[in-house]
Amino acid sequence: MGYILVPIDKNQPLAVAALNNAAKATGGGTVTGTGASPATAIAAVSGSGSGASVTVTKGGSDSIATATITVTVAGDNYSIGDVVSIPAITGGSATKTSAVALYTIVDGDLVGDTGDQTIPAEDVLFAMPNDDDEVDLITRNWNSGTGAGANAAVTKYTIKVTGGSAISDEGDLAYDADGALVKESQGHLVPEIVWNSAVIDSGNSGLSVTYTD
Amino acid sequence: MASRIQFPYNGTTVAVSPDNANTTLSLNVDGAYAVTQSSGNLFVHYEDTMGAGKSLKVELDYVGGANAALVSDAARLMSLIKTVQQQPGSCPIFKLTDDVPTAATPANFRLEKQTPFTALRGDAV
Repeated sequence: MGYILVPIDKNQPLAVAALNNAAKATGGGTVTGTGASPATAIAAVSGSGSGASVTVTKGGSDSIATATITVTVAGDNYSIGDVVSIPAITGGSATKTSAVALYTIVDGDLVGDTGDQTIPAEDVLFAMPNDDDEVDLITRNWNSGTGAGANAAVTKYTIKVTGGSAISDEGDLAYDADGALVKESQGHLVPEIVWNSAVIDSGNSGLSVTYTD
Repeated sequence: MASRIQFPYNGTTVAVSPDNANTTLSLNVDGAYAVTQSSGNLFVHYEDTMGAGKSLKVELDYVGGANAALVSDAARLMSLIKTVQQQPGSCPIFKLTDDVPTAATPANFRLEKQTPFTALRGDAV
């Protein structure tokens, strides 16, 4: 049985909530003040994430490791293990920091499912372009339906792209999926769907797979 | 490994970007045992049973009117299916007899996305 790999959440935002690894944040100099600081844009030290902002709230000591770092703007394209920097926060009347702080993104900081998903390719008859930023992988598996409507009697996988701007070229999604199906038929081991630039450049996130029976 | 045949696809109903125009989509032909022609379209019949005495078939819905796909195209496709089933991984491209794009009728006989692109039904054989 051969499979294809569907990359999930390649452009992943941070969860708008407190970050989970703040105790291991470094730098930040001396943390002073009370209450949440003004929202501050963070920068990528490693990885390709961008666009997120956070607030810092002083904890039990003057160390950044005791502070609470809360995401206020989710940003895009972050991954587990990325290191981001929080510039020194010197404005406002609440929590301030005197130096740049570094934070490493961990599982739980990201929105949605971070795992890729495999689909058994030998059951898939073809990739059908669909509207609504989707591609349907139509299978040969009977779902007990007897209706005369197209695809009424078979199951399908739907790969959906959400977030970002609308995809105007849904046919491209089918080509991308079909490319992996063809590779699988040619003996490639678990080929990954390589999404075209229309998906990658659209700022989309949350590629999801649902199985409809 | 599934046995697949590629078909030219021109997504003018659901747009494709220029990079992907006039490319192909593939069909898994494992278990296919017959091809028929009707109204200019081709139907691939599978051995999969769908209950109630019905079996699976896939419609290759061509643009170009009633004469798009010929009866002889059905025979050619069936011949190709038999070949591919013995040569997994070959993934050949199947074109209709009259798929000879000219300046006047470019890409006239390519698969076209309808609503849906291809009908799948558990029709009686």
